[in-house]
Amino acid sequence: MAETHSELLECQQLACGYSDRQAVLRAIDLTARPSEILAILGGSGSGKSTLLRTLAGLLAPRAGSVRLIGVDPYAVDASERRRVMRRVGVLFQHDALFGSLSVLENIALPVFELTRIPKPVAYEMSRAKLALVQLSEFERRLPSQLSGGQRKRVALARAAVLDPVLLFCDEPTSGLDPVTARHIDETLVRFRDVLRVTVVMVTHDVEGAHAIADRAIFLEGGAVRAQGSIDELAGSADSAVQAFFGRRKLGRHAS
Amino acid sequence: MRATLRRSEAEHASTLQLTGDVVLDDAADLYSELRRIATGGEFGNLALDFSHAGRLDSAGAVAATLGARLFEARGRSCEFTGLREQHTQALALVSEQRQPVHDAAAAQAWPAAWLERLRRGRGLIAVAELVVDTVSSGVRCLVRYDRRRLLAVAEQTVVLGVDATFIVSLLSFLVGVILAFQGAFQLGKFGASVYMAELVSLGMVREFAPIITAIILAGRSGAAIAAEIGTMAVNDEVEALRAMGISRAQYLVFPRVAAMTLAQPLLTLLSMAVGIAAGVAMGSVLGIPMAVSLQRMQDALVLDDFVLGVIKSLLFAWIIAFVGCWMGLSTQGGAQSVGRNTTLAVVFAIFWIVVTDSAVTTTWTLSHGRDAF
Repeated sequence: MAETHSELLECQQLACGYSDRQAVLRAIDLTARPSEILAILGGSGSGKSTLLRTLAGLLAPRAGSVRLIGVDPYAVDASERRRVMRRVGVLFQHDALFGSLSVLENIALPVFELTRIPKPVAYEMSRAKLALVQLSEFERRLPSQLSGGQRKRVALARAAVLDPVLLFCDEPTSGLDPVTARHIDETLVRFRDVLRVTVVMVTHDVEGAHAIADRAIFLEGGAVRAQGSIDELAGSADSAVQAFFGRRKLGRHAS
Repeated sequence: MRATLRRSEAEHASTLQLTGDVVLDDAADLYSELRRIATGGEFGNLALDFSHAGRLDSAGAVAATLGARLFEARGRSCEFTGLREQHTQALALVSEQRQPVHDAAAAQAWPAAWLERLRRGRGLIAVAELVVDTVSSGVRCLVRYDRRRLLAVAEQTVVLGVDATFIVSLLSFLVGVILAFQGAFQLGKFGASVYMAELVSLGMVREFAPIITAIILAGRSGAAIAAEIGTMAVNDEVEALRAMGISRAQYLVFPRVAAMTLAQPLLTLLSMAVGIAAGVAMGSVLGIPMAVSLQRMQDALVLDDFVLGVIKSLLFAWIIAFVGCWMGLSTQGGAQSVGRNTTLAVVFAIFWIVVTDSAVTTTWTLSHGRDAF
């Protein structure tokens, strides 16, 4: 069925945080449109990952609402929630691959567990995604036999194997060298352009976000401080935004 | 998605027209339909018509591509017609022929890998190397009076041995009771129930105490050793030790082997004492006075019986510790591998305990002649 929702992701007056602590973020309003890459920027501890987990249906909001593909995943019954979550992919910061499964088995796992697709089709779907992340020759390896960047790309292939309409990425390029980070960025762009996936990514990597993001929001002090294109953010008069982008610039020159 | 099949008799060809989105939820149906048509002999070549199809995702593209290959495998063709740009892009994802790549580093299935390693003798040589390394580490540690290592031995002795005191005592008590009960009843049929004292004392000291203690420690301490070291191995902590130039035998294996060497004989002696006490108590319940039982036990037992029990307990301790450490160190992969190697550690340890017990009992008995009976 075609996705008819003009906004695949929408949240209103969202407050999020872990239950035993105070809300990290308050009154967040944001949307993500079909086939766009939305970057969530902010300093360490600004609540980026907490927001991502709440948006991805993994952490119940403290207040407000989240709608994924037109459905509030926290307000529906388990079967409806499973149906929605099947259309969503999540790339975790620490890849979260299953160490005892081969690369191909890791990618095919959601297909076997969530669909009744026959084995040859499931494996071929997984190989197609593996080719997309340019790791076809590693399909029989264990995650422990891959480098950090390769593991991240395998995790990306697994997150995308069911052709999600929404892909959430938590720090997709953290801990990677610039060349590998660009590979990941290119892969996300291919996902957007070829698979028509909407990508919502949390990142520190301003350069990467600048290269691929259609829009960005900047979090500071528990709220959205600025939003727009990266160029707009970089040229913002807001001192906190300037400080974030300025620090990045200083770092780049220093290196 | 809706798939409509149209057949043209004249050209001996058919057209399968797809309508609507061809996406994940339709992939299984599309593949099944194409397989049905491909395996049914009545249809010739097929044209898969996408002109009325909506969005095609990678699952739909894979189903169509694999379905087309089924036709090709039967010497027929399956052409895609009416493709739009989005369809072409999605099909491009899966159109490359990707042959499985021979990957030398790929992990083998564990039984095959194990058998292969054993066949080549690498496994046994590696275990032998580990034993030699551990013994030399132990000697160095004692000669240099390495306080840190000795503290680690003390710590492991508490975890692997002292903490097992209660369960060893409880099970030994119950075995003593059972032996006395069965012995007194069966021997009572011949009017010889008083010989229960010999049965319990010799049985506990020579056989039951060493083997019960060993089985408890294999299940408890051996599994703990394998799981702990295995988790360290999969988290690259063992690799990190190597990178820092720290001997895994010295840091990981020696404290555990030394701890088991200390704890197991002591726990075995405890098990002997508790089992015998339970037998005496049970005997008194069944009408055999305690003084009589104790006197008969004293007459029956000689120092050699205790020596045999302690020798066995030492051999069992080394089996449990080395098997646990080796299984832990040879863990690769992830959580599943830790579980599998932990299970193997317990199974292998118990197997070799029983084999060793049979060998030692037979050898000892034969070498000590009739006195041993």
